[in-house]
Amino acid sequence: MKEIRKPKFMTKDRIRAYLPVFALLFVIALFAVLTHGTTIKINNLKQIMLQSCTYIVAGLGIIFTMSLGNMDMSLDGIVSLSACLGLLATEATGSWVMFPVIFLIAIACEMAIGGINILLGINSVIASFAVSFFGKGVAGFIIGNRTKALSLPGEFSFLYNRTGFYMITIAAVLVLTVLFHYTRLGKRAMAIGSNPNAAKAAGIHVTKYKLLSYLAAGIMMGLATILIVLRSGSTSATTGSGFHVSVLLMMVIGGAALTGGTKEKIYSVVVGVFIYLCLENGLTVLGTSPEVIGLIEGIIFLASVTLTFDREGVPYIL
Amino acid sequence: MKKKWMKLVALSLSLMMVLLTACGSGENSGSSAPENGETESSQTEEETGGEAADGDLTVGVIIWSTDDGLGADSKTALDAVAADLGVNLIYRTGSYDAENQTTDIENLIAAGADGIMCCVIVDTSTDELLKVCEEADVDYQVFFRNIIDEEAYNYCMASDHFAGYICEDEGAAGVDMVDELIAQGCTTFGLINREAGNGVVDRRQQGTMEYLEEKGLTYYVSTNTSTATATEMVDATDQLLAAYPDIDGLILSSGSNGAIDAIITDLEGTDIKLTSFDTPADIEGAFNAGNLCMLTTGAQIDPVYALINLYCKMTGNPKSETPTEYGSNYIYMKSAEDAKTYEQYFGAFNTYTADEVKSMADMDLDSFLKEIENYSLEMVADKMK
Repeated sequence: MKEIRKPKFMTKDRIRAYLPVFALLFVIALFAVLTHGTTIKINNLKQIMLQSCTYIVAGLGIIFTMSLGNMDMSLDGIVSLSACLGLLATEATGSWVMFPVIFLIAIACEMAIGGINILLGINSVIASFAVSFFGKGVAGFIIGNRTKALSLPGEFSFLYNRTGFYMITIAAVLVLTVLFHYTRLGKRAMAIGSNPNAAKAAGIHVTKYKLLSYLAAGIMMGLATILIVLRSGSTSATTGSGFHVSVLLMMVIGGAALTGGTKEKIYSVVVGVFIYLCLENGLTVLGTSPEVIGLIEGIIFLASVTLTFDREGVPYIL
Repeated sequence: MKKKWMKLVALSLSLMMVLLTACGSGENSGSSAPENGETESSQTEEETGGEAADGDLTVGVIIWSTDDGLGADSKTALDAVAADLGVNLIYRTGSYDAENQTTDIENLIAAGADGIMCCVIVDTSTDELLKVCEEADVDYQVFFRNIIDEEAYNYCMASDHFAGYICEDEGAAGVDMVDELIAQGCTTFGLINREAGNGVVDRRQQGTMEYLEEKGLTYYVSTNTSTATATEMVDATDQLLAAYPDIDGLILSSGSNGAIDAIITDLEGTDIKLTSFDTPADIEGAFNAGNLCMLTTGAQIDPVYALINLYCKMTGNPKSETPTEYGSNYIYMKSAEDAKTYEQYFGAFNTYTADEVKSMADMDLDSFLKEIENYSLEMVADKMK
């Protein structure tokens, strides 16, 4: 009699996909117990949600380039440059011109990375580092020649409110989920990330979809920069410092695959951001020293990469 | 393979659990607040469980670092004074932009902070950070910083939640450093500056450059990012010296994050004289190396006065009805001998005893201002003798 093999419930991919969700629940529950409920008080949860907005919006854009298998290390430079030029434009004209300028600069930066990667065949990590240095360099030069940092004019401060931030973030998650999982753009970006040669052979216009992915990343980076400027009310040459590392860390903790491909999920951005912020918030509430927080984050990052790294997704490991 | 995988998952979660639980239990490991004035200000960090006393009030401290020269000295001093006042301290470090400092304040408030002390990185964000405190009904004190931006200054000075700011006379210190280099025979100057945006460093650099121009002296500038590492600062110094070999006097406007130690080592064997803000790890050794001729430091007293001022406001006894604006003194060291004296009296924080700290909290504004004005190397040395 032929044995019928039931499909396995606990496959490696399933664990990989759901582990971050369990980790988030675990972190929330653990800190709720350790802090006697302080971390799950409504006010604290509202703060965490507010803090999450910029990271989620940025992550939603970067997941597109990540799904191509391309790492983007330029976020700090993009934030610094677009915020600086945006506020400079508003300072000069006293108008709302800041918003289109920020979007245009962020899109131009991301498209530059895509262009360098595609046209010159230069690795995306190198291209994004180049854009990062360029962005920080220009912003540093502009601000270095001033006597003070740039600040957001008072008439725009009403734009910084919790409800607005939540609405923008929820709308971004919904739109980007549809775009990433249910349209040609997202599906083809993931197909390119899985195997660019196979995607090309299947008739996918690789260059077009790569550039469209960078365009999506640029738009979301513009939006993230606007949220950062509204939240901090100013920009200096240090604006955005460490932002790329934080976003990458959050995405990896959330289960985003560093190798790109069809295993990328939008929810990994949201889950990763919340794990990271709940962890940082919980440790601060516990009175943990900053050095220990850094150590714990490092260990968790290492564990996350080890658990989620898809060895089959890369042809070889050096 | 599956078993190995599951083991790894279990191991990671267990490790995380152990670490977090350890952190949680650490919260209550501190000693209780001193009940009388017998506790010495020099109480060590181990004795206080890494934080200050387990008092009723909690203050969140946002500072660039607690492990470079000035950052570590500031933490030592703050922990001692907090124990004397019965205040718990929670530190947040490593935030170099306004958004991260906003997040720090939010998390500290969630941790139960009744007051926030902040070394603001971006001058124009001082009022935005205050707004977070106002929303949570928490008092806010700025230390190591003044407020240059007019809009931010006006907002802060009109706020009921702003305790005040304390800062050293940065411009005057820059002038004194130039004078010392001139006394050492220097004629051409190199300025290792930081980018604009940090109110204090801006004023230091501005004061130094204005004085050099007033004197008609030649100087060259290397501008570096606020987050530049020690290695990057050494590279910048080497590049400046290579571009302008006639430079014989260097002024380092910020030696934080190990930059000063690295540059002192880098200059060894040359005839170039150096003056700097901040403190190297081995001050006496730094002077003995031969290039360093003046250090502008001792600013760890700044957060001490800031904490006392904030404490008074938090307990309903503010030094003034309006936010206070204090000017704190720098300590100048010009020789290995000075360094020896400094290390003898400032190695652990013992500038004030517990009784003196409590007495300063009770002082009126004029007496407190006088106390701040009296702070000097000589004053501390005399007290210790």
